[in-house]
Amino acid sequence: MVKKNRLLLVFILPLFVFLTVQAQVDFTQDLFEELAANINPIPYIETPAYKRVELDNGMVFYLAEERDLPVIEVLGFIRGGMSQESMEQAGISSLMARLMNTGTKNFSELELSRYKELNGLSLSITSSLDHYNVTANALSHDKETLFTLLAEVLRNPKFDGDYYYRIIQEYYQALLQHFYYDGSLLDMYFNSTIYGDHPYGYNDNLGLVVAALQSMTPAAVESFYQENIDPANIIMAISGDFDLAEMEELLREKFADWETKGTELEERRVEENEANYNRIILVNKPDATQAKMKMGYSFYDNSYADRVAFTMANLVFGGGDFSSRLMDNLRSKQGYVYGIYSNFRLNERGGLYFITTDVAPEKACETREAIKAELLAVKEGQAEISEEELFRIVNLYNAFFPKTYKEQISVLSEIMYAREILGEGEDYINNYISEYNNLSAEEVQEVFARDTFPERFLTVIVGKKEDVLPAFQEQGIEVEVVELF
Amino acid sequence: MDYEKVRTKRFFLLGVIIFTLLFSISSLAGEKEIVIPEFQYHNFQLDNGLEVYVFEDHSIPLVELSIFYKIGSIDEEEGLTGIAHFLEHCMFLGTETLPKGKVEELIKSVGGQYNAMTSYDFTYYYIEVPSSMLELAMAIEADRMVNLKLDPAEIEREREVIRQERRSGIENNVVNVGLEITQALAFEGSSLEHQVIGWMEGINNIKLEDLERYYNTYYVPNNAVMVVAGDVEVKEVERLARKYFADYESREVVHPEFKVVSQTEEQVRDIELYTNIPIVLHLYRIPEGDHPDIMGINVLLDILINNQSSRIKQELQNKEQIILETGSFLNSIRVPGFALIYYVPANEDLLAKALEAFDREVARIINEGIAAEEFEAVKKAYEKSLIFMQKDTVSMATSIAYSKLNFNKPDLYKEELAYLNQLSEEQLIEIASKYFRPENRVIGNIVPVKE
Repeated sequence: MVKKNRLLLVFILPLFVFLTVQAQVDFTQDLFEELAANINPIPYIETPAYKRVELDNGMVFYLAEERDLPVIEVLGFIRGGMSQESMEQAGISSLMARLMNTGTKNFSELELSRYKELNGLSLSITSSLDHYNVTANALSHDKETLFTLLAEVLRNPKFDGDYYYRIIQEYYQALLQHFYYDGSLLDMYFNSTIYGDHPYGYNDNLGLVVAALQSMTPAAVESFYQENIDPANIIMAISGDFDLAEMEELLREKFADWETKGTELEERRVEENEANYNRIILVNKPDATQAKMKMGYSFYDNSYADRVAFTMANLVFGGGDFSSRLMDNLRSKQGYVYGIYSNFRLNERGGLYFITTDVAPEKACETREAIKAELLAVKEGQAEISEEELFRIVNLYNAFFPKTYKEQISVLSEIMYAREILGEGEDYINNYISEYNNLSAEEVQEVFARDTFPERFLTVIVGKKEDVLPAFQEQGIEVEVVELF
Repeated sequence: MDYEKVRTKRFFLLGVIIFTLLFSISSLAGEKEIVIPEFQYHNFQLDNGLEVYVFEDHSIPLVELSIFYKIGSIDEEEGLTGIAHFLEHCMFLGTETLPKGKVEELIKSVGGQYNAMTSYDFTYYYIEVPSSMLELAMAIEADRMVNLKLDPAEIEREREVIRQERRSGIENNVVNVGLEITQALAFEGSSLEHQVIGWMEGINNIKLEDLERYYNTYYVPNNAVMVVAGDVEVKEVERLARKYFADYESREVVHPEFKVVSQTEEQVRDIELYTNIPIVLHLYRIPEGDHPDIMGINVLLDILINNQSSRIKQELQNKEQIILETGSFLNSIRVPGFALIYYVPANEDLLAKALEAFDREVARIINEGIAAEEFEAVKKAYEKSLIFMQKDTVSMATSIAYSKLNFNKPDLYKEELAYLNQLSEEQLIEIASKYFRPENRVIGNIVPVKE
């Protein structure tokens, strides 16, 4: 702690007598109840006039004009992502995306940076479990340069540039630094344990990535690019201040002669590992004054039929804000945590349900038990989800769905994702709205009770062993301790 | 294309870069001026001094009502660090009419959401509700502006939540610990010495009476700006504002005088923490947020550090490879604040070399000037960000309210734009010489613990 040797601050208080403040309004509970009488109408999200353009090489675009501001926005997906990695090439998808953002066959690193900056172009490719995400934007009078850049980065990346070994070194050092960050350690031990030897877990398995980087070569990355980045795997939503016909022509000019290689993606699924049930791993971080905790288990994939009902139930339980049951109990009533959230991911090859929180280290055991008890109370029917709780979530959703889809690019990309990835129809968003509005508390309760599994929790805690462990030992609960150094 | 066009552009770019680096021009003014679409809003003031700003946006049926109070961590007394933030937490613990949890219940019942934040120079609360529920939001904010109930047991429970927030947000993050120590060194003896959340000692010291005193002093209409942004009509906002706030009395509010800490020589502190690689923090003193030099400092930081083609990234990271990463941001507030620059040397042995190279690049700007192309890139980014910002009414409204609250200049962004349009190379060099010199900085070297 820094030694404080400060002069006394002179804090001047008002030197006059406070006047009694009096509102014109008499605040009563009745007044507030009267003002709060509100049931939001069920929203309807307008589908923008759009055109689906599919090139002969399989590349798909969703185009919609919007003339309010002189801007143009792009959101796209390239199928594959981290799911296509092998164990020997752990981390290669992130590395490839980074190299694609750095330089191309026709633009050196500096030239690419300058080209973006002088033309006001933003473009980023990032990798996620099942996709690469492409985001780009510009002012509309720079659209020609924006798509020149996009085509250049997607089609002509240069992996053997003079930046290759520097980026490897930066990546390597950043990975080593993750061993000193609580959040990174938490994700590393949780994801690599829950996913085992599935590619979903590779990128967070820092030891695996560090080892893979040492033998990675530009040729290996080039080969991975050739196998994975294919026009037939790319979908893009483009919205903004442009003429639709001109945009289509521009896209054909930039991408029509890009030949598809007919890439087939690896579809290996995540396998449930019963050895993780009820398992607790404590990663000892001697300098931690707070414990980070993540509890979870494998969940359904993106074909999960009851996703809407489960979403509503989870928001009541712990997915929302201050009013969720977890937050109400563990923050507002007990004061154990600053924040606590339950969440789930429906990935293409297997999903995940998880709860995250930061907690006073000596309360980690108690908090874990309280979370399980809270979940069991819902599952076993002692504290069923009520109609009132469900109504609040539905009413909130009805108010905020229009905000989620305020931007035309958000609607367009959602429609694109629903049609091209999920195989749903154009009315996906409004069908979703209709579905959650027609749920009863009984249905939501039934789905949540059926599809939650408190006995399966894998718990990972990052914290100081001396502070975290005693409470578990007192309870006779087995904990695997990981010593980092 | 494609290829030919790209090649042409490539050679053109190379030519421009070489030309501009060798023969940087003496004046950057006269280049393309930034012009952005006009952003519309209405404002009025109640007799008690409450300022109200209304931003109509009828695209969706929601409204966000926010109140900014001119009270932040720079307004705190010695020994009570963190009280502005603590009070923000207390504003959710109930009023004489609405018990704890009732505000949450009311807002959730209508399908709304809310939150708050505390900064160095303001505290901000927002409630976002369906536009038909504006009156409810207005009534909640009016009630807790005067009727807050501070219960000792609830304050103790909330104190524990805040301790946890501090442990999670500051103590368990290497960079934040390093910044906290470096900032304390740079601003020792002033109220900018500590982070917004305060020292743990301050959080432990705060008493109910202190919270009451701060609440009674600063939570008054003439120390606030209310913003209503969304699907509303100005007349209705004015009617409700008068109904709920007009009878509140104003009170004289005197903010404590900020002690500006002078510095005559560079200060350096090595901070041993659990880290694999060193992280270097430079804190440069800068003037208050509405000072004309702030825009110039912003431009210089982009040219020097933030842009992908910036000099530090090109020279220290890409060519010499002595750093792994770099970045910067401004903490420009109502009082003289600081510019934070960070970089990550590839290893601890390179600390001195990295500092020397950093200073060399600053000296190059001062001695050799700025390339027109570098300046054009910054202007382009600024123009673009202002246009994209107009997609988000609340974001623009927040910027305008902040400028009103702290500088009494709601349209400060226009002043900044005008300043940027006439900024010359000479001015930029002058600003670089004035602020980016060793005697004006404090360096915190976060290095691995020696064991």
